[in-house]
Amino acid sequence: MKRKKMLGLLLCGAMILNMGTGFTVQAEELKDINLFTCTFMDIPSSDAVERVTAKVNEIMNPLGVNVHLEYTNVASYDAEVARRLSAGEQIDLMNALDWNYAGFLANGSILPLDELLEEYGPDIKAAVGDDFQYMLDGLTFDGQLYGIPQLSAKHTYNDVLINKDLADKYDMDLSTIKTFEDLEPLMLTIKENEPGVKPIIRSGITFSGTTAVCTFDEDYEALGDGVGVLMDPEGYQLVDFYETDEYKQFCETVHRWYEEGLVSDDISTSGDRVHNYWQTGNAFACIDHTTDYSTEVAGQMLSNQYGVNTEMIRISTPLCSNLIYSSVIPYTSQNPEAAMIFLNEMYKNPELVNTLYYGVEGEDWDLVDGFITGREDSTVFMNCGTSQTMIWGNYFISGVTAGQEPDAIEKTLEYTRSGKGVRTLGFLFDTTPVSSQYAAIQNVLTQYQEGLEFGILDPEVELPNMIQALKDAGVDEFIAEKQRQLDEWVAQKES
Amino acid sequence: MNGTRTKKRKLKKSDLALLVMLLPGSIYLLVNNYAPMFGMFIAFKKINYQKGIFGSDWVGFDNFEYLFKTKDAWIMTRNTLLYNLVFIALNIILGVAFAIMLNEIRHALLKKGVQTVLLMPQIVSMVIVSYMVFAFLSSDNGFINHSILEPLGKGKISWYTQAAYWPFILIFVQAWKNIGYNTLLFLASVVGIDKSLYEAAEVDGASRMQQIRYITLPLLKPAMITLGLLMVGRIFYSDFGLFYQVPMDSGPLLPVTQTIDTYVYRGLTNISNIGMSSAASFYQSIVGFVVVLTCNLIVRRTDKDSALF
Amino acid sequence: MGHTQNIHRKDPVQVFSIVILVLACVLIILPFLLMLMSSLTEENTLLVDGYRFFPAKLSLEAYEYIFKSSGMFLKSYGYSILVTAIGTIGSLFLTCTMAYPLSRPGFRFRGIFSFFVFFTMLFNGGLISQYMLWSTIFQIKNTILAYIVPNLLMSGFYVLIVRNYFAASIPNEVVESARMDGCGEWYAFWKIVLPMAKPILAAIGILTALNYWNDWTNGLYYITKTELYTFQNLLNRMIQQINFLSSGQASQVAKAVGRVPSVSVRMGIAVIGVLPILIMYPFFQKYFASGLTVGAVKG
Repeated sequence: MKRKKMLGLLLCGAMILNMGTGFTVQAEELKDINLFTCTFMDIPSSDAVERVTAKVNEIMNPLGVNVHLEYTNVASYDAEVARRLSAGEQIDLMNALDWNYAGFLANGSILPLDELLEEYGPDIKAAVGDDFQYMLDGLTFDGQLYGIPQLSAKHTYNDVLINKDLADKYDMDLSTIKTFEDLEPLMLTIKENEPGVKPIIRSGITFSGTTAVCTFDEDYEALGDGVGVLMDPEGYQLVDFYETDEYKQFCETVHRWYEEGLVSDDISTSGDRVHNYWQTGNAFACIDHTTDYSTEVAGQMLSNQYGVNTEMIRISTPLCSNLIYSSVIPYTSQNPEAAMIFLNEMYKNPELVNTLYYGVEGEDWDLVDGFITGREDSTVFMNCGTSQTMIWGNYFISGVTAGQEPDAIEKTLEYTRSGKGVRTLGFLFDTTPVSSQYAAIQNVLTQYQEGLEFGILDPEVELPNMIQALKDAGVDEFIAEKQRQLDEWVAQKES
Repeated sequence: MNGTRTKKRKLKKSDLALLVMLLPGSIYLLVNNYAPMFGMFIAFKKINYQKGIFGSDWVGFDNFEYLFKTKDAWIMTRNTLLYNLVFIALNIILGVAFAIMLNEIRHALLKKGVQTVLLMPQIVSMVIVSYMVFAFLSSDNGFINHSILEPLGKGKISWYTQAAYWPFILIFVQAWKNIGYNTLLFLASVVGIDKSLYEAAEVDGASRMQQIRYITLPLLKPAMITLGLLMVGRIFYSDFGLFYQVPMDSGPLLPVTQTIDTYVYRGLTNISNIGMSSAASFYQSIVGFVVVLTCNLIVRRTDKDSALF
Repeated sequence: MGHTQNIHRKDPVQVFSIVILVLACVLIILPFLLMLMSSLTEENTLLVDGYRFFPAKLSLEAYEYIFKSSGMFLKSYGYSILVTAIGTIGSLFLTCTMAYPLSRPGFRFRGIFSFFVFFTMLFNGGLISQYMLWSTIFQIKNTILAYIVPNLLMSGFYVLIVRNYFAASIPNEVVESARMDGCGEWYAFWKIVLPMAKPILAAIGILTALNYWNDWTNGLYYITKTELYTFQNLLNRMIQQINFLSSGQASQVAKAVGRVPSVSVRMGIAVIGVLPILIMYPFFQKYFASGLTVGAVKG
């Protein structure tokens, strides 16, 4: 009994000691930088981070930079950044995602980068080149550059994902699908014959209006929040999206589907089960956003993942967001030069990029026939890696992963080059002057948007209610302010 | 004369001992609670990190505007207040009732078992509770629609789009979750009642019911008042998990699920403005403060010993 | 005599109490049971056949996934138990030493300090300033103190509850007579008051322990190394991971995660979170609940 207690005490002691050690002594000539980043899936375990850090420093120490990596989940990223920056903690490099870049600019969190880029970022400039100059423009604010664009596929398509097994069973001609409305007769067939199957399910957060509208108006530009939007291919006149005929028509279509029993009551609460519906063969269709250059390859990958034959049908031309993921240097940085040197390396050194994306070669993954193949016991880091490909460095110099075509990277690069940015690329709306209205608008949207766009609410009754509620929330002032900033931006651009 | 002097000195000595006793706790409160209160001034600033938190511009009450400039202001205030009033009453009534009933049980094992079960909901987070509620209420797969209403030949109910049910669901979930907690708080007081009081009453021929009515309940009154006052202080706050996660953030339910906390959360997710979120909690605190001072004053008028201070 | 009568007499109050409490217990257990059963249900069955107490097809898939994706359960349990034990003891000490002086009727500063305690329940400076204080001045990041000290160590709420109990249930004369005998306040507190306050110590002890066991926010703010995670932080991380499935785009998520039985996994995570407490609770009770079942020492 006594011995047991002793053992317990010892264990506790060991644990406390264990928790206390976190320091490593640095060589003096190295400049330390802290990188803070988010992952979309899981944060890697500490030993994986240590492994990757060691490998990264093997590359970076000769350049005089010593890197510390820290990961957090995207769900807590914004709050975590705000907390750390307020506390003045040193962060030398972090991500700006499409939704928080403007916020960072508005509250002065990040440093202008023009001079640093000029001096320490030649490879970034080379990688960006003329093809992606539009991204740099998109991150420039008041004539100064604040973010280094991440390079990867940037165009989004609207696709329809169809359960091919079911389509074949009922002899459907999928080539008839040109817009999302063409799905209706097919779904009715499913509804009649396959009682357990959901004719259409949501795809994550989409299958919502902004997505669907793109399918019949290519000139639509959401301008970030999607409230005041451009629908006119020539001018720069903003309109309240929810008052447009297009929106009304969309809501009516979906509401008809709902009445016909094609949309389930559960749709608004089923976001987390989307994948389970596919995996178990209980879904027939969904509308999805993808960045893949080829519907065949993407469809094939999904088929493998889900174990169900799927076919992907493209129903839009490429749409380029004017919002780009980027790397930024916060004002708490102690070594901005070193941060830029590290960033620069991410645009030219495939070894570094592969390590940051997929982990350490020989421990997390192996090169099998030229494909990066994750090890079974290191799935965690591979998972994080998949999101890292979207937020760090130059994806176009990274390795091809198993399951892709051998020339997938070149093809992606080719098709990303061929697209062009939207007209308002580079316009960033500072919501600070209308933040009260914005907060109220967000709440109105929560109340009505999903209900209308999933067809649960009757647009005849509820759409006017929503429009009125938006007016009460100050949508007119909101759009007026946006218009004012947009006009200013257009004038500046044209002069 | 000599006697009073020594008495006075003695009193001072004991005051000193008590002050020493207060020291560790007070230091903790000073560091953990009082020192960070300087953060409240963020509510009146437009934060710009490059100017620093202290150097940022003062903006007066600008950060508070969004809480009042909307039509939702009335709905969210009404919901927050009404739900809290119901919760306070229900928690006290259920807590007292269950504590007394638990104390009545003579069977030791049964007593322990019930106590354990009552505390079970306290162990799970609201996120998990929201999954449980969903398991019952999901309109396609939920237990109620699928296994109760359907076999009875009744139509499905689309729970997550029908606002009318939710005041009852939320009140039930809140009571379900906190019953063990509240029972435990009162159980200590019930158990602490001097047994000889009951024995004397029994000799006088009082029934169990009468003993509860005339001994237990009056003795629990101070505890009820204290707890009630403490809860009133947070009358403008709401359990975010209960009002956001349990209804699954469902839009059509907003008229009955929107509270100040959920409004602030939804409004600020896309802007993450710390000035505006500080403003909200400042507002909630001030209102709670005023309400609690008023209630305390009333209590002090009627029953001086039960007042908080 | 009255005692034996009690046992033999059919006491309607007791029968009523038992019926109501057992009913309440059933209402509480049912959701847990449904949760347990859905964690054991095969994913496909769950989607087509719905949530049932007697599922058509059982499967351990969810638990396999959970244990495969995290091998750190035992260690994190260790931290949770350690944190809960140290935290609860520390918290009880601080709460009682704070509450006792506030319960003494003769204490001159009683009102001021009661208000001092109460004020902390209403106002807080917000997370950011608290974070600055603990992380930059006290440097508690990535230490065990990060789990124990911020916010949880003492709550004004419990102090006032305990104060109230001291004042209401421990006769002032008892304390006074002890002091008259020449004992100091500390002695009276330690030898007389605390033993008599067993019921409230038990109650507050259990609630504090649960607070510590359930807390994941401190870990989220102050712990950045996954190997130092407590059990709740591990669960929280897994739930975040599952939640990502609901916010991502179908194709991207599918590439990232492949096959995840998300519905049953969530239920499984919940079960794994509840089980240890249910298993440990009887041991807990041995220490705490003696106060709550035996009753107070007569004054």
